[in-house]
Amino acid sequence: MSEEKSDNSTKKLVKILVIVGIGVPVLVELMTLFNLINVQIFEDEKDANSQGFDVEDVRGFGEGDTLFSDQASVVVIDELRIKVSAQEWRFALGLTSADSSSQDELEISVDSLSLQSKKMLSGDNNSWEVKQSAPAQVYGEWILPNGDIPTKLFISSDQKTGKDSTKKVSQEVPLDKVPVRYNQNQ
Amino acid sequence: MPEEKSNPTNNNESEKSWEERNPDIVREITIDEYQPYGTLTLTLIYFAIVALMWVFMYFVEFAGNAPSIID
Amino acid sequence: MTFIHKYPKAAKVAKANFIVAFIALAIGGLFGFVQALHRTNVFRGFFNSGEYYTLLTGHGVLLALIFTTFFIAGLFVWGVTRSLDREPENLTFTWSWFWLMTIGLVMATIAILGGLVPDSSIRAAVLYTFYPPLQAHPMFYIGLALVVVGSWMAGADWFWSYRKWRAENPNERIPILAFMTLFTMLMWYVCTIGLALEVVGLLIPWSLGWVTEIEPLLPRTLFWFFGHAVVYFWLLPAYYVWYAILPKLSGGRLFSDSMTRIVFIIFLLLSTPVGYHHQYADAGISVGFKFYAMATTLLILLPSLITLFTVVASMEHGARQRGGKGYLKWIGKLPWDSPAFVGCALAGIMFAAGGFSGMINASMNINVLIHNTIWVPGHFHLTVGTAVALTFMAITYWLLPQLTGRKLKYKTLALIQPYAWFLGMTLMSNAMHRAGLAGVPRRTAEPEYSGFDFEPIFGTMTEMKWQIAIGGTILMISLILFLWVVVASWLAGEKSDKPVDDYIPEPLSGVEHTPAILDNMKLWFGLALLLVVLAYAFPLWEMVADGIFSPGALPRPS
Repeated sequence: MSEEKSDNSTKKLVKILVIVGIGVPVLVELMTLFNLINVQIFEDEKDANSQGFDVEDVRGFGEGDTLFSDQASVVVIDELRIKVSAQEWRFALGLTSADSSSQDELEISVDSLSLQSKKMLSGDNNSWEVKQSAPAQVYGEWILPNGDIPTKLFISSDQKTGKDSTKKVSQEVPLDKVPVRYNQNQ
Repeated sequence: MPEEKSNPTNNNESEKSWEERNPDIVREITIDEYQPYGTLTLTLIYFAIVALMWVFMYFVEFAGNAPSIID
Repeated sequence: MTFIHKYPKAAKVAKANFIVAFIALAIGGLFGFVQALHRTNVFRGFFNSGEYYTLLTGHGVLLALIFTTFFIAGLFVWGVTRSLDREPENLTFTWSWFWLMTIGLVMATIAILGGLVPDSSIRAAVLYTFYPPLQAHPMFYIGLALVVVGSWMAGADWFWSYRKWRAENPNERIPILAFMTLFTMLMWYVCTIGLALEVVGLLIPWSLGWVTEIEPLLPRTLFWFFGHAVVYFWLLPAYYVWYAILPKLSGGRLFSDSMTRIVFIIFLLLSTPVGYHHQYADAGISVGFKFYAMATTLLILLPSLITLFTVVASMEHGARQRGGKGYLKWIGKLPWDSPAFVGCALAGIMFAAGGFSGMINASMNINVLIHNTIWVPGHFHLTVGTAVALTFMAITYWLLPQLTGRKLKYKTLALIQPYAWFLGMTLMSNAMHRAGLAGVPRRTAEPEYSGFDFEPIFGTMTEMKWQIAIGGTILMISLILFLWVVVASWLAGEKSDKPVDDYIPEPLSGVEHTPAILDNMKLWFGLALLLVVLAYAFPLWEMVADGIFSPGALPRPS
């Protein structure tokens, strides 16, 4: 330090160290703070709309909701959940025809399931069992890939349009959060 | 304070204060002269950051998120 | 004349403690580096993911318990000897606590490292908190118990010196270095009661197979009885350096003697009855006790804010004596070319930043956002990993010449080291905090899940991962620089009668302005015990009422 030259080089080193060793950290932290505030406060609404976080507006279907509400025979969801056992992860759906007088047969089929993992499930592995005749009830279960959750159902039903004529009506049913229940009996 | 005793300085230097013996020190500041304005400034900056974060936390905790436990 | 010439026996004890501390630092630091590369998936070739947890335990125990405890013992031996002006009272006793601690440390380390030996039955991958039902080899628990018993004896050694000194100086005030040491140790005695009960009463009998069942909640609670105060056991020696030595390194004097004592008293009172703030997510403890712990925790911010003021004011005093002017311009006049000063100052800045995330951890509601995420390691790498560790490293540059009688070598490398640590830690800790907000868990070898992606608030996971790995690498480089400078100076530094300016000037507002009641150790120790009883007596009673080892307790408060 006694020599001016080494004193100068120390000064230069300290300058570099302060710029790199303190300047970079301060910059990193300021950027973090800026980004946090920016995202949290100013991009909040945009985010909420695009990602469908707003639960009230885009609430999907759940237990107790009515399907085919604009058709002659409406159907109510009376069971909608995921049943978990040690081996399996099943989606269970039970439907009831709301209007038991005019309808003795409930013809309804689930065409496909759209899952959270963007996969589609379709085909014949869905078997309906008739639980009761009046009011008409049907119930079915589907085996899902473990951990996956259905987000949308494609469901269709034969609706009477005239005296003897029927028409197949399809509906897309976006689902609300499906409750997951551990099923000890299975 | 015993620090003083445990550091017997050379006789010729013992009358000088530590500040006078230290070449890096330009002037000695006694407690009566000393006004820590810089400390006040830094403390206010720190409190300003805490207050800002506190306001920000309102947005994080209450305004930003719908209640959710597990998605 | 410097310390080693005046007190050769104490210097030897302090040096022995430092050697152990630095070996633990080297091994523990290396483990940390491997972890940083492993969990970010930058490089997983060193160890497999099962062994990761052995490394994690080694990193935590060797750094947080061994490096700190031994360094603190060395630092306190230096401080007590110097401020009371007496060598240790009985060297046989002094060396016996050192060797007891060392034997304990070796036992615990062997138990941990056994996990890296294939087919070894000796293992202790129980992480730093050793929560049951994770179980370690009995050697691990017995080793840790010996370290704690050794540290109790070390404290007794310093109280012994104090009593002898008091007998010769009945009317003097306790010198500030001795005061800080004694109050830190009083706090240590209070908080280690919990650890002793846990390890000796529950874990050792359980690991030896004498009892087969254990209740998970009781050991957790006893651990955190100790576990938060232990962070102050690390921090208070850093404060000790900031209060006693940093002002002088800045070219000034400590602003106030009484402030210093008040801060240490508040820590003695409040450090222990706050443990529940580590258990906000634990079922089985009523929310009322958690709330009490939260209020107490937020009160502990007070002494740290007093410290912020006192230490910064002391540094400003130094800067102004060196010719500093203005509101902020004086900062430039501080000795930013002195490794010891730079390390302490940067450690202090980091601690102020750690205060921000600490406030979030402490608040019961917001804690849920980050509980058990990597945010938490991000936080404590600012506090213990920088505020404490960097202070210890920095002050070594000033203490080592006094203990060895040799000048520091490689001053340029020593100067680069604290800046590098600061840079590396900012990068690593910043990314850890952000990853924690995205929900990335702590203590996980492979924090990746199939069919699930973390959603960071901003930035990308890849960018955070690299930031952690690069930060960890810079820290490793900084650690190597430190060890290199220390070893080189220790072995080959130029011998000198006055290798460093070891003089500590008196405070600006000296002990003559300090109320006498602050030195009343019995009063403050009694109050501290009372507060602990208030916080812990009832919930602990609830936990043990159905049998000490009974795991049958309801997972809720009755």
